[in-house]
Amino acid sequence: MGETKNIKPGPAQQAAFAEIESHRPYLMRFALAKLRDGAQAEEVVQEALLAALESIGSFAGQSSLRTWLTSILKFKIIDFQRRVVAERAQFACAPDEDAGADPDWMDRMYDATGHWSPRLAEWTDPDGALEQRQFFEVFERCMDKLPKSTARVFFKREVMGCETEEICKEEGITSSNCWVMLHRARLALRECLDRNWFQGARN
Amino acid sequence: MSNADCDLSCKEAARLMSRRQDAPLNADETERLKQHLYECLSCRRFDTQLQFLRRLARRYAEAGGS
Repeated sequence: MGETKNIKPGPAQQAAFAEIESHRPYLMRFALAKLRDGAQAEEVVQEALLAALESIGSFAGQSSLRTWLTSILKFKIIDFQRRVVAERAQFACAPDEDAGADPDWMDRMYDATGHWSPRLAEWTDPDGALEQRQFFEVFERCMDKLPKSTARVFFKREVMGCETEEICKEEGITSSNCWVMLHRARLALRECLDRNWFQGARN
Repeated sequence: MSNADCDLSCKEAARLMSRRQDAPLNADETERLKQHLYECLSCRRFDTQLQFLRRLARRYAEAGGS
């Protein structure tokens, strides 16, 4: 995929390629949060990765490689959106697809009086977890389990660091709706990380 | 303000803790949440874990554990 170079890459270039390539899943998520459409996201990520490969020499290492790749991707996304807008009107906001999921799962975390059931356990060495690649893989799998719109709102708010007003505008939802979605995402992710990582560390 | 009807459940407290990550709470909400956190260990843990979730997401944006 995407082999457009006819020059034989040397070992250094191959290493750079592998390094850049390892960030593709993250960049796909980023692009999906912005574009919503899988094929479009793949296209811009591909363009961004090729651009990165061509200009890897200008990567000064002041930021992390991921941050640098993300900034390239942002430009590619803006480019892409301009092109799309020029071609046709933006597609209307998709309705919330959360409805299909189990609507009661949130209530089951509490007892009849609204208290945690079971009680929450403490997380052991969370900072240590931040140093482990496997932990981030668990985090990604947990995000994948969220309904799409919820995952997108969470990603924009917490990973991209957007303000809620900005997200509301992009998603076409009210701020209270936005808070509900963020809260759901946080509850579900907390639960998922607890079950798939911290519980194991407790036993 | 400290009458039993005003006491928050964990469910409501959790909602406020989550919202606090995105927008400031009003004085009444802040006070009731403070009361509840003082009494509830699970909710103090929840708050710590919410803040950790934010750090995790930011770290994920920078490097993703690599």
